[in-house]
Amino acid sequence: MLKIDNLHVAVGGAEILRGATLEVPAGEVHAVMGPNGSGKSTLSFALAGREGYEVTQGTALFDGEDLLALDPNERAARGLFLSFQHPLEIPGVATMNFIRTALNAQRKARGEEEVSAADFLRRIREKARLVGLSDDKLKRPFNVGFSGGEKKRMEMLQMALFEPRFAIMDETDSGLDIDALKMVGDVVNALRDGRRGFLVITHYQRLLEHIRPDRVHVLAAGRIVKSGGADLAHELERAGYEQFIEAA
Amino acid sequence: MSASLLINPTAMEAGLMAAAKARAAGPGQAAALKAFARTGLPHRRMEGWKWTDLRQALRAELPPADGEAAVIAPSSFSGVDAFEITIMNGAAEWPDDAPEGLSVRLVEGGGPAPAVARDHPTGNLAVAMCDRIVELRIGKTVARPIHLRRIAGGGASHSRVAVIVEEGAGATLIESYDGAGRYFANSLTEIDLGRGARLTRDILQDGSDDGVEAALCAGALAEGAAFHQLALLLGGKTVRMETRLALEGAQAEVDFRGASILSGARHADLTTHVAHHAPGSTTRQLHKSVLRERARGVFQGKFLVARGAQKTDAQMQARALLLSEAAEVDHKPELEIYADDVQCAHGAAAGALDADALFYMRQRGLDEKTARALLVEAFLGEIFDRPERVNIAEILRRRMRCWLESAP
Repeated sequence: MLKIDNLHVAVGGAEILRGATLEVPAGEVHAVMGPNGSGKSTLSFALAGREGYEVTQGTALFDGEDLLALDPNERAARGLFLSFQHPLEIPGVATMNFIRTALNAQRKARGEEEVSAADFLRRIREKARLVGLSDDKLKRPFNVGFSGGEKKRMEMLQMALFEPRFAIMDETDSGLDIDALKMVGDVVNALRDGRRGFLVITHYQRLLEHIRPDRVHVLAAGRIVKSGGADLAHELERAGYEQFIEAA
Repeated sequence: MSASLLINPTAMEAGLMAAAKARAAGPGQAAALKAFARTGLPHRRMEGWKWTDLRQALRAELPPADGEAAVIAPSSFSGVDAFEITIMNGAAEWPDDAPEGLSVRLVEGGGPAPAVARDHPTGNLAVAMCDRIVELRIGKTVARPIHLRRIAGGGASHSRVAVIVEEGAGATLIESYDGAGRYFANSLTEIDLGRGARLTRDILQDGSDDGVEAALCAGALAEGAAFHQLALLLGGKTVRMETRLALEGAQAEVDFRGASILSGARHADLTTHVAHHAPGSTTRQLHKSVLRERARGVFQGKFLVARGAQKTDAQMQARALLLSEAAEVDHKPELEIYADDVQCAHGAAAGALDADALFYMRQRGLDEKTARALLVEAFLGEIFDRPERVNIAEILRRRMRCWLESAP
């Protein structure tokens, strides 16, 4: 489903990813773990198409299509969702209007019918309940005045609503309490239907208690240096990343 | 003090002065002409005109406009049930069903410039050129909005309007400044608010690429009077929208909100001057500019607080969003304070669209144009959030959206 091969990405002239190779087949959840500065966020931004993340070598195919040739919104319309590590506040932009416009833009790009206002309202309220955000929060400008945890819940709300075919979750667990981690697990597990893929980027294995990964990869110094089963996360938690930093 | 006459008038200035001289002018007009002859059209070496050079903009002479302007698109306010006074190239017309509380008449013979505008070059020019003043007298609150629809095209024109709101009365004045082709439209609007009077002034300036507009509003507020101005400027070749107010009575209230949305090579200058002369008055000002391509926006705001104007509370904010490298904004916020027990502040900021927000929105599926438009609208939004004047604010908001959609 997502096939990354020898990906090199430079940011501001500095090479951060140095030949990352990774494949996530449909239906699987892969975790990417790694020390600070190993290139985890660079990987997620490069895949989502952020300006300033220059791919200097390598490929990323999404269902066989060259992902890197698409605009960020085209990638979103193909079903690629990035849950941001640091979701931002957008003052003056009404939350519901923004999310509905985005949802319909994606649907339109896929040749699907737009969602009516009433249908949208029903759906977003249902998802807000699922992620633990009050209706009142939906009436505010986007994320304005939200706590870090609430911003992460807003990311999960959008993920649940957009039902992406492939989700990259960049440290969604950071800053979340135990109940919220469980909620994130619930959102992901509800979407696991054998056809979607997930790339879960994290420092800790605690989120993986709720989302059991099929594979775990260690990213160090811009490369995948080790891959294994779910047990690898436990091993990392125990032994740390030092061995990989040295190896890289 | 000896006053020197303009040494090298441009052809336009010479033409304007000759036209003014040819009128059977009263003493007020003669004095104004004399004052104008000393300064000529304002230019960049004059205080307050550094970024708005009318002399340069009118380098090529324009003949006096002769009556009909070119065909103008229907007014953005055509859906509003307003009493419409049309001023076509300086000539005023209105129907005879003025709403209760309002009387409209032409005052022949001009009259001297109002004190607030006496040293003002375009104010003096309007006084010198206008033999008639369109006088709107509001004796009691008029519910129906009054629409001053100014249309210009095909030459130079001048107009003079006086709005007198008597004690305790109130009115809503919609002012549209439309134009087509090349023109120079010069206007002077005098406002006199009695004790406790209220005036709301909603402005939409929507001229042509080649239009030059100089609109001066000069007002005086008595005790407890309130003046609210909401302005949307789309600019032109050179556009100056200026409001000068003297708060003569205590506890007066001024609220200015404005937006300049400019594209191409357009220019618009919003200038305000508020002189607090009496204690306890409040002024609130917020101006936002969105500039794309090579457009240039100017904001100049000044609060003067006289010694006797204790407890003045005056706040000014100007913010600009530059959507291209070549766009330019000039902000000049100023405070001049002689009283010691006041609360006054100003701030100005300019920046580009937030790249992080833009990427975030695109990651959610919005194409670049839609994402940019949403962010620009978010930036401007608070200017149009006027729950007490939903209809007109929505018309201005719609005009703003049209402008956003016209982006390349």
